[in-house]
Amino acid sequence: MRQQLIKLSLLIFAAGFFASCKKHLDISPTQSIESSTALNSRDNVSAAITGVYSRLKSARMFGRDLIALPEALADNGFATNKSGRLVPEAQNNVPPATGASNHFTATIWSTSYSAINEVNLILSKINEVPDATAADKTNWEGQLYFLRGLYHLILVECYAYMPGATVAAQDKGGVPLLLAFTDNIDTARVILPARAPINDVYNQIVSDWTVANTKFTNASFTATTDVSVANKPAIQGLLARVNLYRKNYSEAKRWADSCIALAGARLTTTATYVNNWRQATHGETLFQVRYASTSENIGVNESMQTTSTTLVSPGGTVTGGFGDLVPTLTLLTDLGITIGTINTTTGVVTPAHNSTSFAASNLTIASRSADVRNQLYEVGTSGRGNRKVETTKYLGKNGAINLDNIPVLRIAEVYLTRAEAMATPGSPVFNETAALADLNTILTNRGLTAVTLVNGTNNALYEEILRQRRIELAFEGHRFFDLKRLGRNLVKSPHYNDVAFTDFRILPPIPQRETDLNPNLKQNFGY
Amino acid sequence: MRKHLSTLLGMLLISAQLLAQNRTITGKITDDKGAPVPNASVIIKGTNTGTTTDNAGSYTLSVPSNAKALIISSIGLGQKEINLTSGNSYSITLSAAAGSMDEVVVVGYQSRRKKDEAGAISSVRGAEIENKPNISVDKALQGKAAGVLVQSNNGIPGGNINVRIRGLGSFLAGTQPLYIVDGVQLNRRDDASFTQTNPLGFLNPGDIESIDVLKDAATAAIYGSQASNGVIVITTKKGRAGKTRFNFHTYFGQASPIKLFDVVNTQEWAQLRTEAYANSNPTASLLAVKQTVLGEMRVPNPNSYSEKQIDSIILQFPTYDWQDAAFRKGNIQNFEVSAAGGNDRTTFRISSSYTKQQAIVTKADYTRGTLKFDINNRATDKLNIVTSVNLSTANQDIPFSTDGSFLGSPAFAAAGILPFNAIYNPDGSYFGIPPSSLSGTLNQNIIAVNDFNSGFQRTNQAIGSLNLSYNFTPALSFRSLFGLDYRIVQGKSFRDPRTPDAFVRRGLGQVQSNWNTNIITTQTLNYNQNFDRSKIDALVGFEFKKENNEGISTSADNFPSYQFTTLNAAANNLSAGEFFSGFRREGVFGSVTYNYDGRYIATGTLRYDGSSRFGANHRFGLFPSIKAAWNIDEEKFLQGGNTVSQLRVRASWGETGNDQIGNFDALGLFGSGSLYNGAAGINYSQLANPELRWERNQTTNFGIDFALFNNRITSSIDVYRKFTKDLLLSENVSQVTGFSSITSNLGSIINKGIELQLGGDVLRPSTADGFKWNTNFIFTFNQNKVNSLYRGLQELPGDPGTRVGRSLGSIFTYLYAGVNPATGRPMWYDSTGNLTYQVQSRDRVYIGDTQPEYWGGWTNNFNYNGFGLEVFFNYEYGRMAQDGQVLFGTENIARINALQFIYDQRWTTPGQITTYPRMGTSSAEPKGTGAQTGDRTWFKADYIRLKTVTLSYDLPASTYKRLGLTNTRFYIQGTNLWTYQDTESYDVEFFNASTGIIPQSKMFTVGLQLGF
Repeated sequence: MRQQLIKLSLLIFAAGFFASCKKHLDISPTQSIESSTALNSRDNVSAAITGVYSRLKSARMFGRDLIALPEALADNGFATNKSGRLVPEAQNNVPPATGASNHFTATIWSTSYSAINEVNLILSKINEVPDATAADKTNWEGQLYFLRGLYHLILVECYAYMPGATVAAQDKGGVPLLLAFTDNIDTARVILPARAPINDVYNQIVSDWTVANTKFTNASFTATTDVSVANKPAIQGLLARVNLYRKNYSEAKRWADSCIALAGARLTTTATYVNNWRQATHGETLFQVRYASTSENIGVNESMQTTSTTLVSPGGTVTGGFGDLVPTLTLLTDLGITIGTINTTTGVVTPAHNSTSFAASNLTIASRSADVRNQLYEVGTSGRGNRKVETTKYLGKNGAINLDNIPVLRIAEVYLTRAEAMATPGSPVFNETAALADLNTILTNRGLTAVTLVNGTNNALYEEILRQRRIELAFEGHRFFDLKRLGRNLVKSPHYNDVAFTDFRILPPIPQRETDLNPNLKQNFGY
Repeated sequence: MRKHLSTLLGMLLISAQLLAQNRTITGKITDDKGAPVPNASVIIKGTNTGTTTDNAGSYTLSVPSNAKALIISSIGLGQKEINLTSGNSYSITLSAAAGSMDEVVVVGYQSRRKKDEAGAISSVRGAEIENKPNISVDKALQGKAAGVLVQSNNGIPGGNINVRIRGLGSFLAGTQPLYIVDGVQLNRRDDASFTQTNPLGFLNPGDIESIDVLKDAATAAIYGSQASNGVIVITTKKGRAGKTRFNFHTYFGQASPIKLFDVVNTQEWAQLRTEAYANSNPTASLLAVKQTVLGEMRVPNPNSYSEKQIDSIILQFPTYDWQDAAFRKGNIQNFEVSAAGGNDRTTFRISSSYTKQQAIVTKADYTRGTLKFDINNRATDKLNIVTSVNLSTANQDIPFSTDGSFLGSPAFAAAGILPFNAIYNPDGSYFGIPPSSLSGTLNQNIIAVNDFNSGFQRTNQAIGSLNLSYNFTPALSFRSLFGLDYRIVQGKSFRDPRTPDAFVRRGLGQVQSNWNTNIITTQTLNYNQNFDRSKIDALVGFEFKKENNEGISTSADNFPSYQFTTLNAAANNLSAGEFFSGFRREGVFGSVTYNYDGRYIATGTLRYDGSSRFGANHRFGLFPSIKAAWNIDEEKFLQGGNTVSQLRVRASWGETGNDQIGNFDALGLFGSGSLYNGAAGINYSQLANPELRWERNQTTNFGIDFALFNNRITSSIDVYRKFTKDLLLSENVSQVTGFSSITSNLGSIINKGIELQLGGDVLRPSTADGFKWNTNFIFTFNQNKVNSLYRGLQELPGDPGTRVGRSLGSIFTYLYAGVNPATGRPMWYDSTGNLTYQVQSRDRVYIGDTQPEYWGGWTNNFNYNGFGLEVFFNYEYGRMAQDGQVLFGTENIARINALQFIYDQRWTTPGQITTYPRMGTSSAEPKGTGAQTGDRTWFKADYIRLKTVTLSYDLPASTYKRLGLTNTRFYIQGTNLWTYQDTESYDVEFFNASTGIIPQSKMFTVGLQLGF
């Protein structure tokens, strides 16, 4: 009996000991590491910067929305309704206040700020990394300031009016600027910023990129420079773009000059232009969002390939994607493409052609101009319904279907930016001759002959530069922002109703959860 | 410390009673069919002295002269008390009517008579759920236990089941109950990549002895952690001493679709499509429109035909029935065999089963084999060893997808493929396979896709426990349980290069393996002592549970040809993945029950529990509970009368915890997995919340159990209020911080409800063979309300479905106003009550919620002379649902095939009053909101379903004994035979948007049970 009691007591003791040993509850994740100590090594900081870049790949970012939506919302894209995607965007339907659909979505907001917070956190830790060299730190800063500017630009161009093109009564400012990091819940609960003025946001972008520019040397840019990450001409080209956006034409020209001096030779010719669109990296690219491996494939529903074409190879007959967004008739006209007559009995020809349906299965392209750029447009398959003329800029050029690098900045844009900066009436660097030279550089490298234009009374030169910008950059995510920065109406006929620049649908709603949570954050007009 | 313990234990032991002046009593225990009951326990009331019956059901027991009564019990047959008179022979029949207070229930590491238990417990006996063609036991609980809501989100055989006890008590944390099988707490994970698996699928329902559902927090509190959503305690069948008994059970049957959609034919579709084009292109000529439609129907050179020619061409098109081709009758078969027996020291039971269920849509056939061993050894008079091992392997063919709007999924696409698309070419080969395709949005030949694709999901599971109990003294015992729940889920999917999704990539192969290891140990010290009129029942213990979950997956494409399906044949490796996760939980607990004279019972429990999922300083929580019952029928003033045969009232209050959140939600994390430019990245994925702690659930319960007129009517009624505080919630923060939310303890929810079980013998025969009608009605009412959120918010930012004062899952949407009779355009009401074509978010209103208000079941048993008829209904009321499958079929664009009533009721003519808008090529009219917006997409999912009807015949004892059998039963059964519902859905029972799910089926089975 006594022995039993001793045994029992020991057991209970053991049990009590067992229970009180709190180490038993310790378990750590293996796919993640604790944030407090994550950025303490060179490898981890590099990986964290890679992480910031990776957010650009999302289908809500450059994976699709930042490329396809500017075409659909403006006058370049017609939504075929083959999968139903992008129809509300092309119709400019009123987006729900939640920002869930019909326009730039709430995900752009959340993704961009997550990336900016990471940038700010990494910037604050760089000097504490024991095994990093001075060269590492300089390079990291260059990358990080470049990225912070880029994400702020995405936010402000999507959610706010652009400088000098606002509807005063409806202007609620830019977007909150995030220049410090959040790494604990107490901070997270009290960060409730207001929208910074539009100009402040653009100034900050210029400031970040100016800093980034100093982190790279001219010599750092060579023929083999990796254009999938920050590099000197990319930063300068984007500085030219953002200065054009904020109508600082002399700065736009200055940065364009500098960029072209470094990378102007990248401009492709009539002979090489189309072929470059069949390569993983277009030779003109200064910055692209890269999809390096097949596991990064966005897939058959939302990749740029499935969005823009049913084809899987040029001139092919096999059906791949949906071909949800195709050129509008006005874009086809600008491209110099004429569509074959399709209905001899009724005479219903081009006008209804890319409107909702009237492309029969035997649709053909009747004629093309000499513009080599229209070689990137051809008739798709009938595998998803009626054939349409589709763009083949995204054709799985990385070697797998639906896997395409997305060019964000090509040197051709920088030429057009410089031309516009010099041809814009009232520009401090107004110079029609130089502008025309840049325009002709583009035209002659695209199979067209040089023109002789001046602005005259109807801004002929200026308008031709804008028209070439539309053609050159079609389906590359520019059109909506170009019309928006110029305060122009969206002329969507004959496909859809036009949208005036003063219409509140030019801006998407700030995600409602954000305005619900943050009383300082003003919602865009009309939502 | 040791000294104090010894003293304490010594004091407890002194109270053992001394016995004197014995006499010998004998008798025989039989069941209600007259068969002897071996291994039944016979105990002298008020003591721990007793014996067990032998193989012939006989016992001999020496009892002291002052003994007043014997308590006789057997697992599964309940317990009976007989008063001792001057006689020395007492033979009784044990039978456990459902709801009887003498039934034994398993609660918190102990089992006791229901009469001695003060908590709210629903019990279901194995006999009520066996023979049904359910693969898992959770489905079998539907409508059988008050307060338990059983819903499926898919009818795939072996699919997951959603079980909720007493409403939705959590927002972020899990809402599924804790399952315990023979002391082993099961994990509830579904780790299958390619189909659904049910973690309870390992258990053959035929092996179940009883199920006890612990509903109130006071009863569940001893399980502290994880018990917030109630506890389902499953006890499996065990062996009994005596001659080895064999049981054989088989059933065969067939499953068929409950319903198919009534869809339009080719000509009607062409008409709809023509209207769609014409309405959206008012300037186009009708000829142009018709030519376009003809082009879509793939007639070459459509522009060469006139209107009249087109009409006659379309008239000649056949209609193909894709639903008929995709759905089929599935065979069901089941075999079970068991052997049980043993001697007075060792008993055993071995059982094995094989089940095969073919789904009504291929490919989702399910095959399962189980093997179960139970060995019980009384090593010494003091040491008892109970072991149980359950092995199972389940294999499921994988469907294209278990749900969702996938073009290649037969369950989704069958009703929507445009009906002029042929299924086969004239030579018998498949029509429209790559490089060709079908016409229309649903352009895949699903029959071919299904035929060509292959894959499986296999679940191998081992669940076992070792249970040692050592009786130091008759009153004091120590129990030690070690349990293992090990599961490996493996899957393979091969997308055939002949199918559209894999044609251009030349085949896609994916494989997956997942290991889940759960180890649990429970050590308890039990003290049961009877005093003169009172009884103390106490328990202390500790428990540790550990789960590790690991997996790998990989995929590849570009195969040489369709004959090669293994990944090493592929040219291109796409991805390789590995993951790990897990948690730890430990706790100490204690419980004391005081029972005075069988009249007054009170229990107090306390559990101190820790979970690895919470913040470092808040891992442990203390969970107390108290409960009490008064058996009024034991009082003198109720003795003797027959009107009130049972009457008791119960009250309880208790607190339980919930930690069913992500394993690492409290940590600040940089997560891996992102890629850029050929390098691996990390991202700041989560903010730390060191304050994260237990969600707490406080339940107050009042109950009354009564039986009237000699148990002719029995009833239990429970009223409860369940208050959940420190609600685990995603606390939204401004995304400008870089984060969307933090897992926090904020807010509260209240569930209030009434549970009723009412049963009895409507007709009670005077002889055993006479006509008997027994009925049992289960009713539950539950009301769920969000009580508070955080920072004074009235609704969750961006989630108006979660609003203070409303039920979780409230529906906040637009009010549909029908069709403008003049134009056929859909209209809605705006916030001012005016008609509008284009709604804005401010126009939304609350229209209902997605949780049922009332539900339950009704079982009727009719017996006559060996014949039995069981008729079982279940029902739900007060829930609203959306059916994605119906939504696609009711589109007004005819891009996929439409439901017939859309054709019949769509707007076509000015002045027509209807709710279905005119056709168009886009769901939204210009400057209009999409037609399928608002409350028109929601329907009331109320239903009454005749769930099962079983007709059985038991051979008379005289016949089966002559054949050397111990029992023989034939039965025929129908499942899901009839439903009252007011929806178009394939199946109203589903609780999610049931797009592309495999519906439940109607089943007929015939079965045979033999015992020898």
